[in-house]
Amino acid sequence: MPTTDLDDLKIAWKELNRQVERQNALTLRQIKENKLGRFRSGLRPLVLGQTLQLILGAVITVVSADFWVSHLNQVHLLIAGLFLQAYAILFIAFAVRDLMLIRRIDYSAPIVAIQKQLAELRAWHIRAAIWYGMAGSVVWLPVLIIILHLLGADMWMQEPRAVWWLLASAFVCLAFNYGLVLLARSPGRCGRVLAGSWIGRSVNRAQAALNEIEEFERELA
Amino acid sequence: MELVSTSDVCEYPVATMKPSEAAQFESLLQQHGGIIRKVAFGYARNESDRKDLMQDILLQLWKAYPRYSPDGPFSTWMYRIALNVPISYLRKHTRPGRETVQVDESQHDIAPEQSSPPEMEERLTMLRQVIGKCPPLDRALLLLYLDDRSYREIASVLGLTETNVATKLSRLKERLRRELTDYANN
Repeated sequence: MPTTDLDDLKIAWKELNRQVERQNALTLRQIKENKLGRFRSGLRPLVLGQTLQLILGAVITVVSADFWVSHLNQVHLLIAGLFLQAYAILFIAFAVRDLMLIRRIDYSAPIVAIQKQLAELRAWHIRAAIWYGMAGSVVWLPVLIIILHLLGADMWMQEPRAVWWLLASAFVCLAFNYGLVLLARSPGRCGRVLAGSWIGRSVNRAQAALNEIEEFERELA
Repeated sequence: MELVSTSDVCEYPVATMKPSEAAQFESLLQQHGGIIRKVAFGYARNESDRKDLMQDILLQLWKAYPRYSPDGPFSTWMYRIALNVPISYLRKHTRPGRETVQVDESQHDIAPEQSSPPEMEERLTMLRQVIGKCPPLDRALLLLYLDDRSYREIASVLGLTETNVATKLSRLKERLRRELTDYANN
């Protein structure tokens, strides 16, 4: 008949350790055989992703700077180059911040502190993804202008009306995305629907993780 | 009992240690290796996960060891790393509030010839269920409690005050008693 004594749990815990210890030699031999082949580092993909982002950002910064410097007399190309460079610098800044946050994580620090840092990193990452998306709804236009220019076609000179239309649609797209973000934060029905979307769920999960850690950390009366 | 030999550890493609440091690390690991096993049992679902988790913890320990300061107890430092590894993994891969892990009985790693008397088996099943129901942070507290760690050490591992640990433990024990009563009634 099982009892409700907490000491029973401690007895079971000791017995379990004894049993696991007996099998430990075998387990460790297997670990040695496996080496790091199956090692999964939770942050490794993020570090790799941010490093690639940093490299890509640096390449775009150099290319766009070279582009606008060589087109100082053509205002539309100068603006397109500057805009793209600003986006690339934002790209680099976000990657550097991510890498710095990852570097700061020291697993030998107290658990609550580390878990909070990790949760903040994830929350920041998701917020940054939303802002990337917003900027991305406009940045394609300067990219298009630059690519066409490099291919020998000057959109602004040849089809200025098309550029205005594209610019207007880029801003409509930006406003639409911003509206979605605002709606997702609203308490109404639309807000609930959007909060249930993939990005909404990610934001909510990140926030919930932070709340959970803060709740655990809170001094209880 | 052998936990891991220096020669194996040295093959990891991470920061290098001086031979004297490596020998010291190995000796400390052998003294406190039980912590890794206990944490791995507390957070892994089955034997395969347990081996992976032990491997991850060993690697993090090895990486962090050059920064270890002997001012504090090695067990506290080791517990922090050993617990941070699975908690981080669970928090990343599961939704908050759903990180409970049900131990897969069919894949439990106790060999038949090593099985315990029925009464102890009952206790072990109860223990697995209780641990499996705890969210990751509470589980860390539970494992430290089961391991008879002092309030001071628990506070230092978790990053809480001793008063907070005492209150949390008292609530945890209350909850455990309720769960054990339910378990006994069922």
